[in-house]
Amino acid sequence: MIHYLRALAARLLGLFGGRKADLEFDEEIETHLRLLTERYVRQGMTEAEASWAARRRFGNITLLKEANREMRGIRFIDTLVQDVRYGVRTLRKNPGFTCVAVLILALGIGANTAIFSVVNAVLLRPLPYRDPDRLVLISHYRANTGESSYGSDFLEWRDQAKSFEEIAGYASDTSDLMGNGETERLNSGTISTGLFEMLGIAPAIGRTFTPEEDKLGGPPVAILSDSLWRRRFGGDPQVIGRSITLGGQSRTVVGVMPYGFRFPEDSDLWLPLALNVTQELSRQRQIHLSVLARLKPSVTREFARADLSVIFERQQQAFPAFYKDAQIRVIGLSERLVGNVRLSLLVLFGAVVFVLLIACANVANLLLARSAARQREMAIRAAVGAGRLRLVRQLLTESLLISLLGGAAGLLAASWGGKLLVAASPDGIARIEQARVDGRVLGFTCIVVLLTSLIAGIFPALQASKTDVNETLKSQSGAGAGRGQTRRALPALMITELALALVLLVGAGLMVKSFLRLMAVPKGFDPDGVLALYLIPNIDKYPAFSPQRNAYFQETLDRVRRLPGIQSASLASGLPIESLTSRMNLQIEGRPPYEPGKAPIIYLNAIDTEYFQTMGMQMREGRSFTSQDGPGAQQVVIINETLARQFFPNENPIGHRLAVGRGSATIVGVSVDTRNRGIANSVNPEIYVPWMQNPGVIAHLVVRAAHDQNNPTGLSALATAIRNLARSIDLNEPVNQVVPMNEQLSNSVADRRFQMLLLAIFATVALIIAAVGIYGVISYGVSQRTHEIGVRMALGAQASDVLRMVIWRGMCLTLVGVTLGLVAALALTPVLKNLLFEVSATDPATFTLITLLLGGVALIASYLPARRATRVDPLLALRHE
Amino acid sequence: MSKGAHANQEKSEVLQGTLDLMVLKVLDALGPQHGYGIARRIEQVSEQVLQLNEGTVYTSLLRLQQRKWIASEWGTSENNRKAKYYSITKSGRKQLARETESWERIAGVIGRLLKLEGQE
Repeated sequence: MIHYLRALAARLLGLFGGRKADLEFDEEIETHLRLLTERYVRQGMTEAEASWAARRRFGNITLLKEANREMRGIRFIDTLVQDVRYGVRTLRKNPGFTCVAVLILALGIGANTAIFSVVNAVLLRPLPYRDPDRLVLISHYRANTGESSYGSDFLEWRDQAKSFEEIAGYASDTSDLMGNGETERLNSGTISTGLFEMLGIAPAIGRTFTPEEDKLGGPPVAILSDSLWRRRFGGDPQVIGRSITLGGQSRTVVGVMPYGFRFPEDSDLWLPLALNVTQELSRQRQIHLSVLARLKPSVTREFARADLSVIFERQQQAFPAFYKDAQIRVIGLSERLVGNVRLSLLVLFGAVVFVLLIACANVANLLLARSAARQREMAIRAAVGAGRLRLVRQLLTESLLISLLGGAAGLLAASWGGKLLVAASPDGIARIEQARVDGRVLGFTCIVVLLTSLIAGIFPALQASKTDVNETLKSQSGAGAGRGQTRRALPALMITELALALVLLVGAGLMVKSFLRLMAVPKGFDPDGVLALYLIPNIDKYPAFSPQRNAYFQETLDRVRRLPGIQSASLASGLPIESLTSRMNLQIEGRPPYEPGKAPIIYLNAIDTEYFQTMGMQMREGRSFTSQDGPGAQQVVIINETLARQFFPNENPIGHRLAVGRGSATIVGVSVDTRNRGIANSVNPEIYVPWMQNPGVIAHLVVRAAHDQNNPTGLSALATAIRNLARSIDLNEPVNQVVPMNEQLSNSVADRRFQMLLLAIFATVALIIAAVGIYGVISYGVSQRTHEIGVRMALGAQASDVLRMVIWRGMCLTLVGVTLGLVAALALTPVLKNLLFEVSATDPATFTLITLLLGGVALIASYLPARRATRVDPLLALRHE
Repeated sequence: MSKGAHANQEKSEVLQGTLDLMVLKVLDALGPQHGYGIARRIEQVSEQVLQLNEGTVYTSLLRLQQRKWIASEWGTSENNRKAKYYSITKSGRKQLARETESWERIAGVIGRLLKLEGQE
């Protein structure tokens, strides 16, 4: 084994490190030979004779070189092999210590590797497009509506902006693919020509759209994604030129994109944008587009923004109301895709680094405590000639072995935990599914392993190697000289652990509190036992606002209402939390009209008579809608509390009239507020109008189950029944999933829950490791002071005195650690500000609670060894040593 | 190492282990030297008594260097050639003192021993 290793090492060194040394050695020999030759020449030999004589005098050069190379190699490798063998033996002799240390490091390294694999996939890996750094999204940003851009903007930017090589527009939509007696709703990307070229992605088969096809009335064509092509067309290359039926229209397939390409969103297929309206028309009709552009090489985003601002000023002059309060925004594509995930990922990454540091401190603790017991061994080694460096090197090899084992175990844990992490992660984290252990993650883990072995090992190694040979060997117990230093070093580590754990716990505590706050927010409705189904009938077959479309909605509603196990059901154009999208300007009759662009934005929801009952919402005042509020009857409207409070602060809103659509409607009731834009967002003014008077283009069907059906089995049976029924109404209509309201609600906070849970898990792990560490330090202290405690007890100290003394010492250290931790936490938690909901980043209650928690854990961790100390038998203790 | 040595009946071979001592002593006495210079000095002192394969000087130099008893540095030789200069270190001096002492002790013992046998 050793021979093999030696040969291998020599060869390796010959390959890598040895080359320079070899060359130098050659040069040295060369010089020597030349000097020798010159000398012989001076003595009268001919050049040839002299050279030969010199060589003979020098001896066998090849043999010398070989010997030289061997000596250079083996010494280094020999030491290493020696150290490794010795280290393995030492670790094997202390299986308990080894297991604990490896386990602790495996936790720390595993957590780091898992989180880094996600960070790598989501944040670090560049987008798989050509020069992704130059891809930017451009839009108008308005404080109340966010980013938007319209078809008109796209055309104007494309024709007038100078900063971009290319500009393309796209939008995400859905299309119904018919055929084989089965209709499927697919995500379709409508794109302008040049988008694929700009991204640098060529179709796998066929071609992209031509400019002719990107015109209204141009040839109807489509490009398929790889997954759709394989799923629906069996991966047949002959699909090019075939025609497919999309939403009643026949289109020719002209291309198939390569595997994995789904931009934008998760597109199954792509259609030409065919934007052919005038710019003015597009603004009026508000055709929403996303606009992607490629910056010219050397053009900065700031420059592009300035360039676009010139166009923007022209737009603003021409359409002052439309562009009021808007500003130009240029944002990198990768930033957009990553979004606010960056912050939460970095926070999580920070958290696992803390866990690892605590783990390191703990292993350092273990090593230190053990090194005290190895004083004698070290002294003997030093006595027989091992230098300090040599001792440190040997001890570091040991800690490297431990962290290598920990790293291997951690890597296993990470590849398993990483999968769990991805599965548990909320939707909408782009590319998280690509997280895996690849070369970069492996490299990261290797570096972490090296750093870990250094951080955990260097301090104990320095301590242990600082031996006074004479003192140690003279003293009987073998734990003489270094003890004082170890005693000082251990508390320092304990304080570090406490401080780190406190920061992590405070962070997690803030997240948990924030999440609890979020869950406690009054939602205004009762999601329990409510199912929702999203109806979007095909627009070609059921044109918007047509009687057919309404009849379709109405028939679905009527038949669902007749299903057994249903208490009530209603249509709604929007639902709270996520999907309330209809906005309008508020105008109250009898009050002066608002200036253009200054009118408050309110949200509108068209609902059916049973809506409030189905959603479990209360009316504050007035009445809800009845079947009397039909198309011919007087227009009526119900407002929410926020609207009533904001715009009718001192009067009864009932009886007032609001502008709705082209007419006006009388306020007949005030409903409770519901969180209409997500739980974390404030409630906007909102109005409800009767579905019969203002039918929507899309409809949500909400159903409340009867009491006896309000359980998981009952609800899922009901969901299936509703879905089957909806499908039976029009076999060509794809029907969406029936989703329980509770599930939607929980999905809407999934990312916050995810962050909170992970942080809480890491903090708990940190707390456990730190508790073990405190326990270890205090127990070690007690065991070292057995003699002293024995003396004290022999002199009359009571058990309670000993108890107090040990605990007092533990608490003093805890106080220092906690204080340091609090200072660090105050400095660090503001990072969390944007992740918190209605909780300050320096929330005093959380800080207090966590401090008490950690203090309590430290108290228990020092009480256990303290109690053991009270059981010290003075006689035994005095005989000890 | 000794494989390269040519048997020469008239001259003594360098005793195993003594070359290191000689090199150390040369460096101690003469200050920084290159390998060639060391070989010349040993030749000069030995007055042609010792048969030295000059290449073995370099093996010795490497061995001494690995024990940190000598240090090396690139410099320019008398006739403007690049050459590696070796110099003795502090721990090298200590080692030299130790070795000298033990050499003298052993030499003394062997000398007495040989005298004894001669008397018998």
